[in-house]
Amino acid sequence: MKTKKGFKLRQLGDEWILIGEGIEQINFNKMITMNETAAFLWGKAIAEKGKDLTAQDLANWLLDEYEVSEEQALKDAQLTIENWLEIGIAE
Amino acid sequence: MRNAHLRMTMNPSKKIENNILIPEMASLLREGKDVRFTPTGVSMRPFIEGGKDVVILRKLPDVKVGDISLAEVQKSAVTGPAPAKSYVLHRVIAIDGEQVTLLGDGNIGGTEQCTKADVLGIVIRIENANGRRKPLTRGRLWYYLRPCRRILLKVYRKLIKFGII
Repeated sequence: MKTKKGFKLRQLGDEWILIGEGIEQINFNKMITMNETAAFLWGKAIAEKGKDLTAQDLANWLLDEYEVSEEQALKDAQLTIENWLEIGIAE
Repeated sequence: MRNAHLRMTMNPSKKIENNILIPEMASLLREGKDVRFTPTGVSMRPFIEGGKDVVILRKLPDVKVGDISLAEVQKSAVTGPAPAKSYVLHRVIAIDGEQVTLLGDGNIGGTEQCTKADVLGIVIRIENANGRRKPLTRGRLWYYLRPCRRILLKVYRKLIKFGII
């Protein structure tokens, strides 16, 4: 899985939102809300700059940062990747 | 260590309140970015169909009568305890110095007041759900048709209901 370019993560109140951002236009119709954990994973993923990431990569980040079992981390990572692919922010 | 809890949604309009979202749009507009979004409601019928049409907003140096503007307006304190801030995407129908008066095209009466500084952005383009450009009028004729708006809007609703437009 690779993250797509053209989205910017912003914190709005307690929520994190990912907004489609072109050079001059911000698309609030392409807006995805994320909770803190999902935003954390997204931040980590885009820092990899287009590297092909696996569920295990995401799970490892979760394990480093959060109190969570390995099994749960991998499950959450897989769900997150499925979700990102489904909504079109990753390919 | 924190507890992980994953949740993502694709329905942000219900998640994020306007009073959080619109100040964010305003700051982007001030930075000189155009902002694209789908407004809701019927108050700009027949020119903007809420929930379907997409508008593109830009911060322009001046606001003029006929502009459709996103503005922070003061809600009347007549019924509530204190005047509350709210946001509207309505047409400017009068300007007196710094004072701006707005009225939704789909509204029969009930204007809003704000200052020029409260105008966050102006609609520079309207697109329908298929991405086709809709005409961006100054609404002058529509303004003079105010006495007939009720009946015209009724006809418009019927046309939409029967799928004619």
